[in-house]
Amino acid sequence: MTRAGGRRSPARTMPALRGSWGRVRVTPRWRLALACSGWLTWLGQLLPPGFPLRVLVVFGFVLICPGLALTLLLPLREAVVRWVLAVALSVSLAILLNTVLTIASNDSLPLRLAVLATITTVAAVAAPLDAARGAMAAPGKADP
Amino acid sequence: MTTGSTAPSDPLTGSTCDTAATTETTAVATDLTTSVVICAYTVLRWPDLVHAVASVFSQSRPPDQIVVVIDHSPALLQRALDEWAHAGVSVVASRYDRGLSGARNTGIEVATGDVVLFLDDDAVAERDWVDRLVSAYADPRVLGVGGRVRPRWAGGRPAWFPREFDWVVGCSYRGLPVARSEIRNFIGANMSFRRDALTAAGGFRHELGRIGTVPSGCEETELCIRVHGQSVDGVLLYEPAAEVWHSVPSQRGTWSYFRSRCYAEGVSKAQVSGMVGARRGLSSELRYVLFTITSGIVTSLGRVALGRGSGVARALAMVVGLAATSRGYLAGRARSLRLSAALPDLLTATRRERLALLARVGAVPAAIVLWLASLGRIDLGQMGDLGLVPLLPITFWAALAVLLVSFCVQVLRPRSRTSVLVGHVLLLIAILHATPSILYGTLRYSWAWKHVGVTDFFMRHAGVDRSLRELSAYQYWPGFFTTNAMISKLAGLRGAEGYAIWAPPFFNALLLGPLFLIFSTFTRDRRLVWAAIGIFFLGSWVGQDYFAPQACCYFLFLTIVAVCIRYVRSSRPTSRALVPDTSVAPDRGQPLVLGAVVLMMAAIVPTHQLTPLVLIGALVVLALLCRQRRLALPLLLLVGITAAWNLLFAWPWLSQNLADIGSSFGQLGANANSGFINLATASRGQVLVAQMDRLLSVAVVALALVGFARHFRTRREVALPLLALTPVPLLFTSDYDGEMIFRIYLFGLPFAAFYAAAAFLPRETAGRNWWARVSLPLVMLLLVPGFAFSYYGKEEVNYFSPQELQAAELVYGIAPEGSQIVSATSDFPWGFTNYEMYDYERFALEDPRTRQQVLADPVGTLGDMMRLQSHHHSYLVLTRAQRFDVEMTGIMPPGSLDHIAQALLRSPDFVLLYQSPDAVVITRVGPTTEASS
Repeated sequence: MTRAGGRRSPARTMPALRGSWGRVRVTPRWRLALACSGWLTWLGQLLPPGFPLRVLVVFGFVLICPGLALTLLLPLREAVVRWVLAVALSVSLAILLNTVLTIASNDSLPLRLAVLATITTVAAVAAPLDAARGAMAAPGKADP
Repeated sequence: MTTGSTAPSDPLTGSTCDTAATTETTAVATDLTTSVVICAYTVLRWPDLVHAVASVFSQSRPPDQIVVVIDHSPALLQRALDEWAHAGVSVVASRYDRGLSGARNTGIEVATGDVVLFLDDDAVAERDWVDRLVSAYADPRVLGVGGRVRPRWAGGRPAWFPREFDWVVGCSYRGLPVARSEIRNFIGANMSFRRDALTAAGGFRHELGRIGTVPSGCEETELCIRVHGQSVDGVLLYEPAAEVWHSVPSQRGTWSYFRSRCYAEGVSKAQVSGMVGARRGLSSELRYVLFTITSGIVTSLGRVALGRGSGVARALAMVVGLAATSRGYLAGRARSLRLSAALPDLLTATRRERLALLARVGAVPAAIVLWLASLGRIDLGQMGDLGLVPLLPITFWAALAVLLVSFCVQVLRPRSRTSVLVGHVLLLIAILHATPSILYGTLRYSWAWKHVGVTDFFMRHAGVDRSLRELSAYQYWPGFFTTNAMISKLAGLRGAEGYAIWAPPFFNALLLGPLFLIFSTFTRDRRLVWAAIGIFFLGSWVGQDYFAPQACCYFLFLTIVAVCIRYVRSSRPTSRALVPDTSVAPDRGQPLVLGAVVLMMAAIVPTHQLTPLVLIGALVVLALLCRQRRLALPLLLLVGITAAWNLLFAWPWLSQNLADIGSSFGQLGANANSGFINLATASRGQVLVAQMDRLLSVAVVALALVGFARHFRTRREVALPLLALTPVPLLFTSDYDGEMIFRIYLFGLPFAAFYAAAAFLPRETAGRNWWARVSLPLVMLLLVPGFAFSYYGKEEVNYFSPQELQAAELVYGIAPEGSQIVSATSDFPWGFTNYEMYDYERFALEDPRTRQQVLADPVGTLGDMMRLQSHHHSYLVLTRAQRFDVEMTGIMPPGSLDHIAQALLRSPDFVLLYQSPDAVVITRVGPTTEASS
């Protein structure tokens, strides 16, 4: 209900998020880190069971990295879609992988981690270098 | 240059380096025309200005135009005209107020070249400066190129002056890349831009930048961020081979100048942060502090060990410089808050403006403080029939009130930041859903314990076990549990109970993303989007956010819907199509997006029974009724995958339960009512809770109907109302263990919440909307008690005290495999530990006749139930939560469980193993040797 004669402000439209939310930068270093994330998680297995860093690394990798690598293959323009899909695809991949292996009565933990890490690496490396088709580059370096 | 040849170069700063380009920095010649702009403001630097212009004249690639802008100095203007007017140099006076930004903008307006290069009046360019800068523009994506600025100290570099702080004297500092790299911003003494990009960006901001000798800055930083933000794939390059020498007078080598310049830089950073956002304004400063300064201090101190005493001074200078910059930043932030155009000046503000200011700045911290202050004042020992509700102190309600009013203010403001809105919603989720997690210290809700038990099963077993009688459905839909088993094992955890505590806030926070995407597809009005998100979380009382497959699949469900309506839709507009959206992806990648959708669908099918059916309904709505024909393929695939799973894998379970499913099929009334507690027998508190949750649901639906009526007149989309109704037909199929009506509410809620918000904001027009300003916060505040009663009202059953935990751990610690575990209900922690080893009996869930028998003759009835001929060991576990469950639902009279326990303990056939105020464990006497063996 807009009162007639009321002060008009600029249209409150939002095709994209304000600020830097709408941008994603996929630098070579970033891609390298993503490609290596699964194997670093593997290295994290050397940490003591339940060690906070190990827990953090495992959750971070399983819930984000495989899906994030897959999103690099998708024509996404919005960072929020990318991050939502990163989690959703990571969870989906983990569910499918574990379901298949469980039905096959295979309880190999290294196999599960290796498959997820390989998918992450392949997707991160195979994604086009122009920053995931439409992902915008954000500033990465500055004078102080 | 293309990013295809980029590779990491600088381990400290994270900048990208073009290795190919560094080997052929000047190989590419372009036909771009160039204009060099030099700004000057005082005759005192006339000799410097002469050297600067001379260095430009002597370039190996002479610029097409030289512009000298004089900033409000008539004497200097006349002198410059006399010196260079005849030489083809454009000497002009600044057209704006005094200041470097105005002078540079004048230069941009006068410049005619394709590329505009800026050189300070006290800098001298190397001969190949123009050539090296311009050669980088061979790549059309390059919007600007900056070069290296080397200091030329008039009196020699002070020994204490750290190279990491050369930016204090306007020069390139240690830590910058050594090869051509992408960069966020340039140093003003040596930079260039495409003129089109500068013009499109609107030039430098006049409120930033040096005015005379006042040491301010960052105008180039802010401009670079703005120029960069205009292009999808544009880049700004740092080309260190393009060098200029910057004159540094001796007075700039003093401690006082160092400190004041650092302070001024901090103030300027604060201004830039206020304009472009702290994340962008400070995107690399953190790395600079963490890596460059830290390593600089370490290196300087290391030199002390080598006998160089100046290292101490340099390290000290870095600490002092960092402190001064931080102090300036804080002062600048405070000043920008006070002086920002978006905020009224406190000194002249009206009372209402001061209140608005208070709401914007202080509301969230106040809500956090109030919430945290509440937590210590909640005594769980006092929990009664209304669960947590009576225990919540006034500060808890005040926290929610402050937060929601602030949220509504932010939602209705024209220029509120997304990050602020996200912060409000996340805090709302934390207050609503993390409060029990923090307070209890134990996992909440018996079903969450059950799912922890199932996860534990898959941690100990390689595959599914279809022979299990207990919790057999989970063997046929194991996706969620096997995944958590993998995560727990990878993390080295004993089980999922540690992190399952945080599932409610985690899963609710996850929903924020897909909800935002769905709502913003149907409207461009950000007020409507965020109001709908707020109403969703206040109306989501059903509690399907605990550690469960439903919570996981709900997130996937909403994500799939969001992706389908945003990306996988017909390019041909239809009269009933979704609202046009400018962010839709190009068609070329839609098959890949479809693949992602199918992947998520395939994950839902082996994880949850109900969600695929709702998703099929949603896709039917979108594909057929909304004519999004591209969704026909994923719909068919989903139907195929679901059918294949149910027929090929889950059929044994389905066939066993076909009779139950068939008996409830078509029983609309029975299925709808089966989940509601019987108000005639329930406790008084639970009657109130039931009335409140029904009232809350009705309120949300009623608001949605009003919003639909108001919104549909202007936006005739059909997808949302149909999606809201999609789950309703499920009422005909099954009662889903009495939960179907709640699941239907859950699946329809996002779309209903959108229309509920539209009741306040039916049109996208902006302006003073007094109706929304008053009614939206009011309604949100009214929803709070509804949510609190509905969600916290049953906490008496959901909360497990440490004594209950001890009792359960005792039972599972001593009960050998094959034992029987008897309880009134399944409400006790660790209820399903090693559940494949035990048999379970829950006498309160039996038919009324059996319950009556237990009450009338506990020793006889339970003696039969726990007879040792069937199981070598039998344990009865009665807990506080079970007592509340049977009493609040009215299936047994108050005091029943205490009566049963006392009767058993008087019998010689039973022995007490554990007793506390909250739990009792009793076992049947003497397992026989034969049975044990």
